Amino acid sequence: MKSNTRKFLTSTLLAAGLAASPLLSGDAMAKTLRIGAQADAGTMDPQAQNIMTTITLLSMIYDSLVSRDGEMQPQPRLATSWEQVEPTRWRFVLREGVTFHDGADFTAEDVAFTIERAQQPTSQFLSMAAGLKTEIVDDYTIDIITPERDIFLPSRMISLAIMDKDWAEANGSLAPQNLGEGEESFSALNANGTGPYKLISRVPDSKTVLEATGEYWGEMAGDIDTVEFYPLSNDPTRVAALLSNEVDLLIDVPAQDVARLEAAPGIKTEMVDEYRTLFIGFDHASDTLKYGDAGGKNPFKDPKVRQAISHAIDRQAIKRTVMRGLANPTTQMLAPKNVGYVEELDTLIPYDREKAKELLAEAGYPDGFSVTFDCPNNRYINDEQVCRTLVTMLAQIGIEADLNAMPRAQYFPKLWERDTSMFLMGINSPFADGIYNLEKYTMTRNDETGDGIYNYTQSDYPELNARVEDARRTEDEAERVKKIEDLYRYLTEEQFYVGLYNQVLVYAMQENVSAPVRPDNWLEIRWVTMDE
Amino acid sequence: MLKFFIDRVFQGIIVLLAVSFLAFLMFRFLGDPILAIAGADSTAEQRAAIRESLGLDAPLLLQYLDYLRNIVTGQFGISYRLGEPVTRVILDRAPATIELAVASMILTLVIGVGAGIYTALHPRSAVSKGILAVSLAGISMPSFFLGVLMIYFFSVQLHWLPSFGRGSLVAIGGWETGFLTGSGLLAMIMPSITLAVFQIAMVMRLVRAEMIEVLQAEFIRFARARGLNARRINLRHALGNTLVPVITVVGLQLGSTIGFAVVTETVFQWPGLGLLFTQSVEAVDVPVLAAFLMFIALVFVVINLVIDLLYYLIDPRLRVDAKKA
Repeated sequence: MKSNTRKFLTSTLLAAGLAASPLLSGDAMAKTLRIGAQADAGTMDPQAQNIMTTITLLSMIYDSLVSRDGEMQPQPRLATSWEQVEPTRWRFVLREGVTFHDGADFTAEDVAFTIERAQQPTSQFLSMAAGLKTEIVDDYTIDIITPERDIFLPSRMISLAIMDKDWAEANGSLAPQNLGEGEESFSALNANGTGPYKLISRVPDSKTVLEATGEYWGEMAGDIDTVEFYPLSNDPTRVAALLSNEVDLLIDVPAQDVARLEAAPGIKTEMVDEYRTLFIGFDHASDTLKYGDAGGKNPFKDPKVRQAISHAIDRQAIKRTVMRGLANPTTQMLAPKNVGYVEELDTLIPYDREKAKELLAEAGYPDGFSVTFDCPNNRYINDEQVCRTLVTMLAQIGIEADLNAMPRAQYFPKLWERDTSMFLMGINSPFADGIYNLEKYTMTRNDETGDGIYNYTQSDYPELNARVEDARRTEDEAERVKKIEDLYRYLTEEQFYVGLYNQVLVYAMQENVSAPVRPDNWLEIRWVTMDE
Repeated sequence: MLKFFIDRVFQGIIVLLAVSFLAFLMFRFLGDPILAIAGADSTAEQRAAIRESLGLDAPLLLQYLDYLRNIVTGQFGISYRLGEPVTRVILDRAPATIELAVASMILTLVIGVGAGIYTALHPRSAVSKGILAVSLAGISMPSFFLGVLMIYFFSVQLHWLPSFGRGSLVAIGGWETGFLTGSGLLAMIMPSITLAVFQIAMVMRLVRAEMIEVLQAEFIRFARARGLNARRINLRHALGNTLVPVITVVGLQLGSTIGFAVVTETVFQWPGLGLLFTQSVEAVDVPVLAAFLMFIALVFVVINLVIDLLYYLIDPRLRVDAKKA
C-alpha cells in the first residue's frame, strides 16, 4: 500500500513537470537485471557455439520451437503443438502472429531455413539437426522428417534458435561464420530474433546489453526492462561484484564461496542437482597399458580392477572436502530425473578398501600397478583437486596413479585421439534420457552413425552394442525404460565407467531477485522476476 | 648518427624475428585451437574440415612461413574466439590498456619521485622510515592479492569504488576514454594503484639511492660552498642528475605495463590487452596471440630505440664512440 502511494506521488510529480531531466523519467521505474558470469558468450550467432552461456544469452533474444518447463518436460514455444504423424515424420503447428525484431513475420520458411543452417559444416548444432529434412505444409505447419524413428525430435528442437530467413539472406549469414575463409560474419555481431529482448549493444569481454521489446508474444514472469550481461573471469571479483551490489545475479558461483554468500546479508542462493555426472574412464581395448606399467598387461580390461578402483574411492570425503558439499555421490553414469535412472545404482559399489584390495589381488595385481591419470584443470568444478584426491585414494590400494593435469584445449584433443589410459570426464544427456549416454559413451565408435563418438575407452563389445540398439528401437515406452534401466545396472555392476558424483549447480542473487535454476544450467529469463 | 640508427633498427628486426619464432613454437604447447572453434562435442569429420580450412594440417615449417608472411603483410587474420579481424580487436582494446598505463605512470612519477626525494633529503626522519617500510610491503605484495584486498575494502565494505570494468566512456574519434567521466575516473583508481604500487616502490628506492649518491658528489659540495640555496641545489642540480637512470627505468616499465598488465586487468575485468591475452591463451586463439606478442615486441623495440637515441643525445661520450667505430 505504502509503495503504491509513493508510486502515485512520483507519477503525479512527474506529471506536474517537476522532473524536467529526461534522466529521471526514464530510469526511475526501469528494472535492470545485471547478470555476472565466468565467461562471455562467444558470439551472437545462434548456431555457431554450443556452450551453455552462449545458448542462455541468445535464448533471451531468439526463440526456439520448443522449450522446457520446470520439470524439464518439453513445452510449446514457437510451436504450439506437435505430433509424430508417422514413425519418421513429426508435424509441428507454429504460432501465428509472431514477428521478428525487425518486423518480419515468423513462418514455416524460417524453421526450414534454421534447420538447414544448423546442418552447415560450421554449425555446432549438427548433432541436433543431422539428417533432418523439412516439408512446409503451409505457412504455419511444417513436417520434419527424421532419418529413423526419433522420439527426441522435440527435444532436439529446444536448442535450435529460429532465425529469420530473409534477414540472414540479406546480411549474407546463410551459415555460421567460417574462420578459415577469414570472413567476418554479420550474424556473429548482430541479432534478430522473436524473443523477449533485443540486442542493444555488445562489447566482447565487457558488457552486453539487451532491452525488452515490449511486444513479446509469450508470458513473462517478471517485468525486467533491461538485461546487462557482464563476463567476470576472476572468481573473487565476480563474488565481490555481487556482494557490492554491482550485479544482481551470478550464474557461475565458485564452489568455495557458496557458504560465504549464503551467510552474506541481502544475498540468497538457489541450488539444483545438475545433469552432470563426473566419472573415471579407462582404456578397455589395448593389450598393454599405453601409459603406465602393469607387467605388460592392461588391467582395465578386467571388471574386477575397475570395481576395485570404485571400492577404493571415498566419495563422501570428496563431497565434503574438495566439493564443499556441492556434489551427490554416485557409482553410475546417469543423473537423477533422467529416464532410466535407478536410485540404488548410486550406492551399488560402496567405499570398502579391504574389498578393493581383495579384488585387485584376485585380478592378479596384489601389488597394484602404475598408470597415468589424465585430468582437465579448467573444465569441471575443482577438477584438478578432485583428481589429486583420487590419486591419494588409489595409492592406498597400491595403484600408483601419475596425475597428468592440463587445460581443456590440450585435454580434449588427447581424448579425441583416444590417446589415454585413464581419464576424468563429465557426462550429461541433452534429452534427459539415459539412452543418449549409452549410445554416445558405451557403444563402439562409429563416426558414420554417431554412435560411440564420445566413447574414449576404445571399447568394442558387440553384445552391449546390440542391447543398446535394441533398447533404442523399442517402441513401447515402459519396455524401453526397463531395458535402459537393465543396461545401467549391467554397466554399473561391471563399472564400465567408475561414477563419482553429480555436480550441484548454484546461482547466487540479490534478495529481490528470483531466478529458478534449471538442472541443465540454462537460465530461463522468462522465469526471472525482480522486486522494486 | 645515421649509422647508429640503422644499426639499432636492424637489431630490432632480429629481435622481432626471434620473438615471432618463439611465439610460434609456444603456441604448439598451448593446446589445440580446434577445441575452442568446434567445441568438445564436435565430430572427427567436422574437426578435420576445420583443420584443413585453417591450414592447421600443413607441415610445421610451412605453417611458420605462412605465419611470417602474414605478419610481414599485416594480415593477422580473424580471431578464432571473437570472430573479428585481429587488428580491430587489438586496436579496440589498446586504449583501455594505454590509459591504465598512463594513469599508473603518473602515480609512479608523482609519488615515487616525490617520496624518493623526501627520503633522500631526510634519511633519519620517522616519516622516511615509515615510507620505506610501506614501500617494502609494496614491492613484496603480489598485485593479485592487493587488487582483491582493495576490492574487498573499497567495493564490498565501503561501496566507494566499482570492482570491475571501466565505467562510462566518451568516444573521441576512435578512442574511447574514461578520463573524461566521473565513473571512468573512479573505475581507474584501484586498477592503476594495483599496477603502480610495485613501480612506485621501485622508482622511490631508485631515486633515493641515486639522490643520496649524487648529494655526496663534488659538484654538490661545490654548489653548497658557492652558497646557492638548498632548494635550488636539491631540485635542480641533484635531482637533474638523478633522473637519467630513472627515465630509462620508467620508460622500460611503461613497456611492461602495456604488455603485462595481465594480472591487474584480469582481477578488475579491465577490458584491455592483458585481459585479451589471458582469454586468448585459454581459447588458444593463435591469431590474436601472434599479433599481440608481435605488438608487444614492437613496443619494446621502439621504446628501446627511443631510449638509445635519448642517451645518444644526452651523453656526448656515446657520440665519440660511434664516430670512432
